[in-house]
This record gives sequence, C-alpha cells and structure tokens, in this order.
Amino acid sequence: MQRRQFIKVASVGAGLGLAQGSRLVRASETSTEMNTLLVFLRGGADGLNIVTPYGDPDYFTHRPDIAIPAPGEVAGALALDSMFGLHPSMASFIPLFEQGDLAIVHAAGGTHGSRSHFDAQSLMERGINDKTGVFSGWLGRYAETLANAYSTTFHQVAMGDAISLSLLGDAPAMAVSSIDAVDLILPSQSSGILKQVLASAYSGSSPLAQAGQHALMAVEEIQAADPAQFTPLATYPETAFGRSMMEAAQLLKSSLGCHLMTFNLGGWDHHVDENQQLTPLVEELADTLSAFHTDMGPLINNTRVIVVSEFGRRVAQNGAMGTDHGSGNCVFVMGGGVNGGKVYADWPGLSSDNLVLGDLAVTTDYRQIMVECLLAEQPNLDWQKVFPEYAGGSPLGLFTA
Amino acid sequence: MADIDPVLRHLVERVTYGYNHATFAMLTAMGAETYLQNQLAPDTIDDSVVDSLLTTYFPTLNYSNLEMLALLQEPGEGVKTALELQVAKLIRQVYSQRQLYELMVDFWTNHFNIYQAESPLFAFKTIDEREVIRPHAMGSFKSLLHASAKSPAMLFYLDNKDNRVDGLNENYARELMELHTLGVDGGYTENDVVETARCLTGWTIYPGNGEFLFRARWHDNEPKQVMDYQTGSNGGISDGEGLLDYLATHPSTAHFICKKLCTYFISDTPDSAVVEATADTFLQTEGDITAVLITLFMHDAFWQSAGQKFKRPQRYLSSCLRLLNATPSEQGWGFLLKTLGDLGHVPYHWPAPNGYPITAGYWLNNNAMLQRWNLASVIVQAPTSATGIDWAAAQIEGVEADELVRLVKNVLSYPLSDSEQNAVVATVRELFGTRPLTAEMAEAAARHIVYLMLAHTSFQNH
Repeated sequence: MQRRQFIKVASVGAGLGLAQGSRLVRASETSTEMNTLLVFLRGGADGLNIVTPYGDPDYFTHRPDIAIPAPGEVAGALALDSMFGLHPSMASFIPLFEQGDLAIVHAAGGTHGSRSHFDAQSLMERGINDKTGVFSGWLGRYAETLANAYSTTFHQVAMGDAISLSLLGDAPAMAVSSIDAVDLILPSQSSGILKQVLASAYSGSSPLAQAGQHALMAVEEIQAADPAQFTPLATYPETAFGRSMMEAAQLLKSSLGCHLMTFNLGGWDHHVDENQQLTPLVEELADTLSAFHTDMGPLINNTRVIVVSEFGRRVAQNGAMGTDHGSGNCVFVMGGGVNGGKVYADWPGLSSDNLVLGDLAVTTDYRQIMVECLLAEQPNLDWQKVFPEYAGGSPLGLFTA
Repeated sequence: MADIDPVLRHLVERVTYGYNHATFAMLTAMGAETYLQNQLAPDTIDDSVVDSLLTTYFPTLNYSNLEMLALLQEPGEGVKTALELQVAKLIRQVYSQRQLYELMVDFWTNHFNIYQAESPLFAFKTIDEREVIRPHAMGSFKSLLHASAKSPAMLFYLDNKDNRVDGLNENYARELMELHTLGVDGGYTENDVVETARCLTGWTIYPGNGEFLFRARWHDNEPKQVMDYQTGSNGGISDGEGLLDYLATHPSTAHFICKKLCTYFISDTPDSAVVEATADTFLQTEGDITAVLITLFMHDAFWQSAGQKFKRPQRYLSSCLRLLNATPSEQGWGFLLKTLGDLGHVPYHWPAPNGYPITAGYWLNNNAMLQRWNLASVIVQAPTSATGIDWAAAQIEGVEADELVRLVKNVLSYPLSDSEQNAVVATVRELFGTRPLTAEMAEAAARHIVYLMLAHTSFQNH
C-alpha cells in the first residue's frame, strides 16, 4: 500500500492576501464534487466491543464477562486481521471491507481528555480541543471552501430536526427531518398570495428572517427536484437512522446539489448491560451503511462516510455488565477512494501501564482522518482553516490521491 | 380599545405561557406588581379547576409506587401512563392559574432530565414529577436535589441503582456534578467523579415496592474526598447526604443554576450583572428558588429584554392555544402531541440527561419554521369540535376586510402593529374581495387572519 507524503501546502488564502475569515474559493472547478457524510454515534460508543482487539490478551483480562469472544468461538468476532475482529452482528460490513471500500482506524479520538458527553461532542463537532475556541463546526468551515456552499440551498444538510454543530458556519445549512416534512401546508385559499405574505414578513437579515427565507426556498426546491422519485435500490433497517440514510441517498441522487451531510445515531451510552444493547445497535449501523453503499451504486465513488463517537469506553468492565466513559475509540471510513480492507492502528496495548486513567490511549487524532478525507477532494486545501488547533500528524494513507 | 401596555405584555410573555384576553384583563386590574407577587406564591392561587380536571381524566397521575409496579405488568399500560403525564403537562401549561409555577416545573424537569420513553420510566417519571419536581420547584434547591437523588426514576435513568462498592457505576455521579449542580467548569476532577460515585454506593431501588432503599452492604465504608468535602469511615447514607448538601450550596452551583435561570427567563446571552446578582441571592439564601426569582424579576436586565427569546415549540403551541382560548377535544390533544413530535419537543422525550436546550441556537432553523407554520395552519383549519375555538366570536355578516381584521385583533387582544395590520388587511382583500363579507366568508377570512398572525415573525419571539 502506498503511503502518501504528508505535505503542508502554503495557505492559498495567505498567498492571495485574503482577510481573516473570508471564504476561500477553489482555484479550479473539478469535474465531480465529492459527498462528505458524517455519522455521529451519540453516547460514547464502545469501540473495544465493536472492533475487538482479540489479539491483545488483556482485552479478555479486563472484560471477563462482557468481552466479545475471539474469532472461531461461539458468537465470536469476525476476523479482520490477526489482531482485530468485528462484532459478529456487523456481518454486512465484511463484503465492504473485503472489496476495499471500508477502512477502520482504532485507538483514535480526541486528545482533550474530556469524558463529558456534552463537552466531548461539542469539541469533536467543532474540531478543536479548547472549548473557548471557535464556535463553528469543522464541516461548516470546510463548506466555506467550496464554491457552491453559499449559493446552493441544500449544499449542507443535517438529517434531523436541528442543524448539527458540525455544520454550523458561515454558509447556511438546512435541517431535514424527513423529505415529506419539507412541505408548506397552507390554509385552503390561494397559496401563492399567502407565500408572498410570508416571504415579505420574513424579509431581512435577522436569524429569524433567514430561517423563514430558507424554509420557503427549501419547499420550492424540494418540490421541483422530487427526490422521492428515486426508489431505493436496497433495503434499509426500518429505524429513524435507517430512514435518514435512505432519504439521504435520494437527496444525493437528485438535482438539489447536496454534498455535505450529517446524521445522528443515539443510544451508545452503555453503563449497564452493554452487550444486550450494543448488539442491535451495531447491526443497525452496519446494515444501514451497507444498504446505503448498495443503494448509491456508482455515486459511492465520490462519496465518503465517516462514523465517529465522542469517546470510547473504559477498558475494564464496571459492576453492572457495562462500561463507563473512556477515551480511545474506533472510527469507520467508507466509500470511494478509501484505502479499505485494513484496520489502521498504532496500537498502544491494553496492559494496565499502557492505559490512560484506565482508558485506551489515543494514538491517532481523529482530525487526521478528516484532514486526509478533505485533502483527497482538494489537495490544495488549507486544512488549518478547517482545523485551526491541529498541528498535523503522521500520514495514515487512508485515501487514494 | 387602548393599545396594550408593552411593559405588561412583556411581563405576561415571560411569566406565563402566552398572553390572552383574560390574563390581560386580570393584570390590568391588579397591576404588574401584585400579579407578580401572586405568581411568586403559587400556593395562594386557586387552581382547583385544572386539578380536578386532571384527577378525573388522568388517574395515574396520583398512583403510588406499588400501583405503578402493578400497572407496569399489564401490556400497554405503561405507555398510556406516559401519555397521560405528557397531556397533563400541556394542559397545565395552557390552563393553570399558576403559570410561573408551571414554568419552573418545566425548568427543573429539563434540568433534572429523565427520558420517559422506556419501562419502568413510563410510570416512574410520573412519580418523579409529583414527588420530586412539583413539591420543590419554587422552594429549596437543596430539598429538590435530595429528592432527585433518591428518586427511583433518576436512580434507574442514570444507573445509580447499580452503583455498589464492588462494582462502581459513575454515570449518575458524573451528571450530578456536571449537569445538576456544579456545571462542567465547576472545578471537579475525574477523581472527584469516582469519589462521588463511592459516596453514593448503595443508593438503590427496593424491587418489592419500587421505592428508594439504602442498601448498607452495597455501601463503600472507607473515607472519601470530593473537592473540599470529606467523609470519615462508616458514614453510611450520610456520606451521600452530606455530599448533596455540599454540592447544593457550592458557589459553582449557584452560578451554574442562576445562569440557566437567567437564560430561561431573560435572554440567550444574559448580562453577567443579573447572573451575579441572582447567584449572590442563591448563596445567601442557601438556594431559595423564590428568592432568586425575586432578584431576577426586579433586575433591569429582565425588563429590558422584551422580545429577545425565541419561542420553543411547546411554548409556541401553548401560546397559540391560550391566545385562541382553545379547548381541544381528546383527539385534538392527541393530534397536537403528535405535532410536537414533528417539532422535536415531546414532553419528557429528550434522551440525554442535559434536557431540552433553552437557547435559540438549537431551535431556530428552516425546519422549525416550516413545522410551526404548518401547526398554525392545522389549528386554523381544524373544526371547532377538535379545537374548541370559537370562530363565531369574530364572525359578523356584512363587515369588510379592515373591520374584520380589527375585530379579530380585539377579540384576541393581539398586538398587531400598524404595518402588520395593513398587510393582513391587504391579504384578506386579495383573498376574499373588497365587498362586505358573508357570514361564511367572514369565518374563512377570520381563520386566514389568525394564520397570518400565528405565522408572523412577531409571534415567534417572546
């Protein structure tokens, strides 16, 4: 496998003498804009039971009752290599892994040390370690570097009721709870006149006015583009998360111009009876993403999905067949241009002296994954504008050039 | 009719779930100061109409722990119980005479958030609301905290019922400090989280009756230290109780709670002056919530913040129903609860312990606008049998558009500005013509006028 040289390119913005905070416009249009999708597992997903380090004997020592059995044993993990195995309920990921469209990074995460859900989520969505730092999302800051982010209404889409912090930035984002919900129901008489009254009431630049304007634009554009016409080419789990990715595929196939999207899957905070709760969740995650992969067909080649969680969980099990908040975790990366079929890990080991406050150490800053993903789309990107506090790290080689 | 005093309007908008004709009349008669004094002493306000309505139609609100345990054995009964609590909350928000009290109940419900949507929380949350939140919502924060720590619903939701000396569970301990008292910057360390968990070992639920039980043999009897709080050995339940007293009166707690209260009642970015003033009162009174509220409502920052808060969906819905004097049918309430789902604000359905956000950053976006415009549309189109709205109040045959708009405005005490009024009149003329309206057209026009009022920018803030 080729290892890409990690080159720090001089800031395009600095060269052009752009003022602080002005948006960077791409020097040239490339033929196909990439789709970058972020799935956030809320609650601190237990990476050690999702991608199990069965090759590390301390894994079983610390988790006598809740470790996933080694490959070959009853209900054993699915071997990915000689060290790591995949949770047995994630079988639908194996074909993607084998064909090279799925990669895993382990012992990854944030280096801020917070084990508070809310702080850790906030920091990860903002792409920083200092919570007094910039209050925008890394994906929102990335949007500012893309030519269509400001002019295309649906360029940035948060699937859900609210706009995720990851997407918060200068360029406007849309919240889509479902395609059906993007609809204006008016009292019976003459919708045209009422729409005009709404438009004029919501004219102006206040946040409220902008929200109203975007609402009206969203309705017009979705009606014209009719994303529901794209019948899914795969069967998704019938869950909220499954539906959100199914609809995302429809939006991406349509003429709306979606390119940056965020998703949420909650319920990972397994302090008690972990495996009972973890099993259906990981199954839902794998089945949804593999359905999405199939459904997207050739469009998967310019689509990347990154799956993260705010932190992993304690290496040792607790007194309730569960685990408490931890640190190092696994990250899934799926899609086109991914150097898949491999678990990327600078594995620190799980013996007690290698743990940090009882947790798996972080040996890969999660931002390294994002940076390589974004550079694969824009090799000349000044990624320090997207991740202002990140000093860079050893190249992983996650994406082909 | 005279214009509505903007100062009175601001008070109503912050201390109730939305203005309406009756509240204005009462307020104008007794004056702002007396009104506020009354609201700060909810026990002196007669709320028997709402109370008896709820007792009659929602019997599970008063069930004991034992009755709830029995109920949870019957399929479907848990979900029904949960629904009763949700609708009861909406009813209280719209109709209770103790409006400020209901606002405080909602504040603490979210501060000590419990996600109701699984067994046994379907039923335990009802008890938590009745025995933890409601008795202490305007009383002593210390009492509220103690009650919450021993609440079976909380012990279950944040796993402290499993917290034992030979198997520590840190979930509640962490959120107790991060979310309920000190705040994430309150000065505690990861080690303090572990020590807090040790203090609370053995605080569990007795399966026989679903009530709080201190299991002595699960308790860690060694000495512990959380920040400046120390225990000796064999302190038993006093290890945890002493810790709660310490946390409840800590300066970080005062600041954290008061900042939230100022954000809830004043603005998303409250002045540090009012935050400090309320925090001082909190510390001096050892967490007397009513005293803190008095400081808050007396502060200039409160009176200068008119229109600065974006209505969250439950408030948007309540303010629509209050304005229109709606009395939805049972099916009507069921439908409205469902639309709160589309707006992302179903009572007790926020999964994480931090509760529903209280600032506009989370709530204001394009999807939010579409859903509330659609809610307004549904309310005005629904038949009177579903909403109880008396459209005939403004239905006068032979009026013209401008007179109809004025009529609707007066019936509702809706403070329409001149420019808004002109725009609405022009719209009605375009839709229904310029000649005198027939009775039927007047009703249709009235519904459209109300839609425009509910959808307008001025109705989105309070």
